[in-house]
Amino acid sequence: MSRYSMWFVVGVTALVLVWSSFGTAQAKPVTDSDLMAPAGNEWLHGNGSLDGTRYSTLSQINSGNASGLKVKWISSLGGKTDAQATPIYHDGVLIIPQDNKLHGFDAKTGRLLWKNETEMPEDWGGQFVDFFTGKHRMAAITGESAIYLSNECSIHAVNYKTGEGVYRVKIDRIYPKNFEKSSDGNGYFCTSGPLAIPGGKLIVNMNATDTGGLQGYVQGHSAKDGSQLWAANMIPGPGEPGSDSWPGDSRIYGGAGPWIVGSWDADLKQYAVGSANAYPWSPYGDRDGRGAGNMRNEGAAAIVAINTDTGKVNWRYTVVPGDPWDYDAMQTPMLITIDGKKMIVQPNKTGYIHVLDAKTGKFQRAMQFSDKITWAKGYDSSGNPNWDFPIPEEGKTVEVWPSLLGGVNMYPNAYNPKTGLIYTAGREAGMSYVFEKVQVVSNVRNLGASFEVLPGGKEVERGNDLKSGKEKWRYETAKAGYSGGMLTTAGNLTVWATQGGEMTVADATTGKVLFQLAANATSKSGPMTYSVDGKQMITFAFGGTGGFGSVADDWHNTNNGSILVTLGQ
Amino acid sequence: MKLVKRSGARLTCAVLAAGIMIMTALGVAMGDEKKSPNPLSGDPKAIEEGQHLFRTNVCGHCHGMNARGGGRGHPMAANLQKFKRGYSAFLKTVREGYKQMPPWGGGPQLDEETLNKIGAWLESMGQPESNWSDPRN
Repeated sequence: MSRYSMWFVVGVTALVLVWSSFGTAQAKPVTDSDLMAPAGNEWLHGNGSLDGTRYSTLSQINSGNASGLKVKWISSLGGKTDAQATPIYHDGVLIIPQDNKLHGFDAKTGRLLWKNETEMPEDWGGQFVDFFTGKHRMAAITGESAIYLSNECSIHAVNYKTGEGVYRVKIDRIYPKNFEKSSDGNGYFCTSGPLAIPGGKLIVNMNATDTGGLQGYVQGHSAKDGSQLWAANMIPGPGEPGSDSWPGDSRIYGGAGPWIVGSWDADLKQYAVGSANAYPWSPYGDRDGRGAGNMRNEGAAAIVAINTDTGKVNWRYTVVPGDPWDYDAMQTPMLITIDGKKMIVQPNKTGYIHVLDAKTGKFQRAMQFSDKITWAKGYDSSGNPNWDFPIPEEGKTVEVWPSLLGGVNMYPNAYNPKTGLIYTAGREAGMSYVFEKVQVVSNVRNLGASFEVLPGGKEVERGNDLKSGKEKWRYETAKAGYSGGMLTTAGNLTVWATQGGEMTVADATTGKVLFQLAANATSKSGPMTYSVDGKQMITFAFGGTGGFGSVADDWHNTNNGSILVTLGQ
Repeated sequence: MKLVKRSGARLTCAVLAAGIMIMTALGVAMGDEKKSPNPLSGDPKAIEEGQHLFRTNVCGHCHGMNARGGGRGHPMAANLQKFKRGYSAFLKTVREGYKQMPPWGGGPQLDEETLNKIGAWLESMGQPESNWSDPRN
């Protein structure tokens, strides 16, 4: 080969290598240090960071310039049901689960990069399963794998750049089955997302509450291959404190499933999570009755703290002992330092914000945020509610405030350490409620209660001082519902979208609306923020219909619009 | 003159009688069209049991305890107090599903008597614009 031919070959080879590097840029694995960092350029966890506060350190978009925000891109999520997941962001890729698919979008342009799909089993079905199917609240990322849970509780790990499958592992618990195809329709369904924590672990919530009441668990799994490491029961078992608060075998179908991702404390190696209502809803029941309100049913409607090295439960605090009102305490218990002490802070359905010592679970205070509460008059110093009226007998209709949808529901709340305010996605509404006899079909116990959210009411976003509980500002809409959830930033911003679809950016200190744009699609998830090529962006996911938990006259006039909308400067 | 008067009076009576018979027949026919084919329609005991059955089965969870929404299931589960499509359509909807509603509301199958009792209660809750009779072809 002549010298010229040789140099020609070298040159062409070099060109090919350079060209290839644009098409397959090196993946950047997410490290333990990345997972521990507060949300900033990246948003690696559904709630931004492991403390669950949905606070971003970004301030490029701030209260001084937010009025000039523009739509940067819109992309279709293609969903048939609610978009309940906050997206996560890493290395140019926005990742979000929807309808048992995981999607990767180019964060700069909104272009769909990949999609990883799965199907439900043929006998998938059962009580309320149709309502839950397709809904996911978070994804996770660790190493090079983006991870989500499909509804029948398989862990899916996919390459975050390409969407190629890494592994799929079915968690070893039964899923709910079609009544006609099974003599036992009970089972676990996964709508929560996993939480990736340092040390190569995934924390997974296992919930079977409203599909028949099998008791809830939190499980630790290996992020490398999905294998199970441990399981922690939400309801105390024999020998555990509080086990005598469930009569007979009622704990077996006592519910208390965790269904919203919790927070993680790196010092205590502790996962704090909220649990669902006690099951059945009626405390009267039949042979597995829970004692008609006389028993505390510890672990249900509770905050539970678990050591993630061992899977042992550190403590349980029951927010609503004996829970007669379907008052799940499922909201993310945020990890917040107040006056130098680490606290667990949880606004919940009761209409109160609960504050507990993070290490011991000792009750500190419960601060009212809802305008109207009729089921209790606050909490005593031991952390027990001061009950306001007795549990009614079967068949007697009562009016209760807040409704069972709650002073807040599943839509995430946020905390800003600079303002000291906690931001809640609230609703003012009461309910009519009546206990009915529990019946059993295909071994599935039904709820044993019926209800109607009262007409009217309103959506209310609030900023409350965390130390005093005092409300500093509020934003109300005339229509019933909840916003999709809150985001707050170091740029002195609090961001949400209303149930009617108004994307709203407000001054975090005063609540003054700085920017608002109508997406005219229902919001069921909280917005998030990140930085791409040095530019801060805010992304919202929309999807669902605006009529959840409202009488027909209160429905929002929106079609199901399944889209992502990203704002920037 | 007397003969003419008597004949005129008889004719008037005959026309009136015929008119009354026609109106009665029409009224009966129209009433039949408005009547629900539910064999338990209007039965007080069935209505009372139907309310309980509606609430204890999955129906109340989506449609609310008073069947006008306000439940916790699928958004925009119909306000059944304004149901217009007739009783046969109600049965078909429950058994086969309709739009976003799955068959049997995703719950266990119910027997015909239970459906009739639930239907009787729903009819009793109907607003003026509701219709439970089966539409004419």
